[in-house]
Amino acid sequence: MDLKARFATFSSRTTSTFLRKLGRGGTNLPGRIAKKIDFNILTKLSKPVKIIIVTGTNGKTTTTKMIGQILDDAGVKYFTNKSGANIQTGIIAAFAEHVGTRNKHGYTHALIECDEAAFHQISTLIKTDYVVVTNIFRDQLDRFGEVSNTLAAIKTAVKNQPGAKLCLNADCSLTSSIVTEKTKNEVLWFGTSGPLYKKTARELSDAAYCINCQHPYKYHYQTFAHLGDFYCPRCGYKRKDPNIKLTKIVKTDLESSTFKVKSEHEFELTLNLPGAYNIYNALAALALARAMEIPDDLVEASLEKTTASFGRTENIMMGKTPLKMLLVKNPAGYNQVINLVINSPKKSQAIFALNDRIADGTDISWIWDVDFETLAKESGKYFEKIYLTGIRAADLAMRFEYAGFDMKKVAIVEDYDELLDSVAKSELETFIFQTYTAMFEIRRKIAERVDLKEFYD
Amino acid sequence: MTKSIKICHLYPDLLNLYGDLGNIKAMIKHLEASDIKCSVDSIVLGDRLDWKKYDIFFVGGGQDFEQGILSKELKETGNDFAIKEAIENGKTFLAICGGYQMLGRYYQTWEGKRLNYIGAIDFYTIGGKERQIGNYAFEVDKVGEIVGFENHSGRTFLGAKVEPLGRVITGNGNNGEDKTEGVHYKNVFGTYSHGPVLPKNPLFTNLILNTALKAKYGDDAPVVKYTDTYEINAHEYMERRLASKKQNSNNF
Repeated sequence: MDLKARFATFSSRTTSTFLRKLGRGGTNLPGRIAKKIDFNILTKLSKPVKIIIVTGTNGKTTTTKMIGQILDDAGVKYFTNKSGANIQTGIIAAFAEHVGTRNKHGYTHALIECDEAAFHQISTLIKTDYVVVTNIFRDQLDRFGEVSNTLAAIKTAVKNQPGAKLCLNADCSLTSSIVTEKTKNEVLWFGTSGPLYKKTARELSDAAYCINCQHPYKYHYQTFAHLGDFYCPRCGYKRKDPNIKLTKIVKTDLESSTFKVKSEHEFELTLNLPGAYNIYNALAALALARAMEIPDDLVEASLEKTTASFGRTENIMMGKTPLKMLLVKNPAGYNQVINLVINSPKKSQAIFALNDRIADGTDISWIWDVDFETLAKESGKYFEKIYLTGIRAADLAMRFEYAGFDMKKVAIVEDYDELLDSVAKSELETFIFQTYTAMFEIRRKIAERVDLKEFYD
Repeated sequence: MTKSIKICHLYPDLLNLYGDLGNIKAMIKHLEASDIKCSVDSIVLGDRLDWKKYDIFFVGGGQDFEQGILSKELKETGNDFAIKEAIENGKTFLAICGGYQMLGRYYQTWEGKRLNYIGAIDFYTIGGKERQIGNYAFEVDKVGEIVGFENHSGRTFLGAKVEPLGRVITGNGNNGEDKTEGVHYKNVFGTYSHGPVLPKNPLFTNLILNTALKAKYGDDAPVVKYTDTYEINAHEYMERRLASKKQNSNNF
């Protein structure tokens, strides 16, 4: 490795160490410095390893965690980037830290969670071996612009990687359109074979019209949002038959899902993560395992072991009060969490935290596309108490009144300590619906009361 | 006799940017609280619009892909002409962002490509290189301050005889240059404001409803005066926040 690259790597690593000593979770600065010193640093650092990219709008972190467990159990020597560090600079820092100038740990694989726009950027710099796309939804418009931009970014990135094996969500008409007649990549499709929920939140579709001919899609069934067995009656664009297919839902509740899946063989699997969206994440991980030729029985055990990622349906006991941390970033994700809660009704209470910092999305208009009406109707009576907090709590209160919640149960509590005090006293199961930065703030406050794992474990 | 208002939601299947549906919810809420009957119909792809049936038309914003579909659709169905007729006959419109732009003459992209729009009102929009994004506020006659969220790359310029909806207090508004925001032509209210704009601007909601009631019932029109604490709290929070931001930036 040339001198410039060595210096870039060294700078990134020392900055990381320095930041860690300061107790700061800063994840972008080291990579930014390295790239300033050597623009091609990522190309150089990534040469010794095979690269697995996990991208898509929702489910990246959990899918990456599942794949990590599978690789661990399969004895693959790999490293991964921290979940918050999924843009280019964070990815550079991960390579600098783990591969370094000599790859002295002997890593064979890099498992990289990658933001959609970052995937586009790094696709010209590195050669990837596997690409997993979980799904494509409209995210917050102030962050990524239109869903067509997100899709275009992923399409271009895939075009830059003709040698990568692709693992794609067959049920997502947007993701599925990545593959055209010209695509030379090997593709493994994952998907379902029927609906996943009894009750579902009403949602706007991010893809109601055929991506090729603009005619409205029809569905043999929908699982949620625009996902399902779609087809276009005019031009014939339709869902691909999944290679990795969910064949039967056996049981689902607030903690887990048991289902049958057919990959090479058919087998039953209990996932200790709730919700249909996690079933999709598991299917994505199964597809990657199949692409890497890791045997089904090993994968099954790994997936059963996977626990929630930081803040995503994470369970925390705070004294005698069980807390369920639910990260909500956009209407699609929020409505999935609502589906989860309304399908397992029980006496409980709930906190809703809404911030509008950059990482949350500065435009909170999207809360009007979350189906709080269905949550009020189905779960309102089960919530003994509803707390609203975060920077935009006043907007949430207005939204909740519109949605038909019993406002006598609703209290705005801005101070997190006061909020946690009230919650702790009740000893009731507590759902915490929270946007990204609210989750950090609240989790930090919980950590003052309970021993918790480090951030970014 | 009970009075009633019929709302027509134009193309909710195509123009459905985040939150715009909240505007319909606000209108329904204020009407019901004032004992005025209310119904909402949707005009979707393939429908022909009979404008005489409705009192208020709502048009939201859309993404480029969907707005492209819509431009073709409007010409094919003749609904572009129906919308013009409705406007000239004093029907009440609330048009947001992309829906607002479409009532103008044309949209010219940054590269110079021109897309012709309905042309119901004399204004045009030029695509900008950078998006204007953020919370903003503007002042409207008879309403006072309106708070909302703007997110648009187009810069809109009004014709000489066309009035804006309001004057920008903080943020960009129509084009970031002339301090105008939105358009007010006959009974049409066009604005860039998402948020959605109506729930947290209850007086603006009432202005739109009262405009439609007046057009329909003349001197017999009931007057909607509804507001509630939650709407006012959300409004005041943003008004305070923008005011303190302005104060801070003036200090430098």
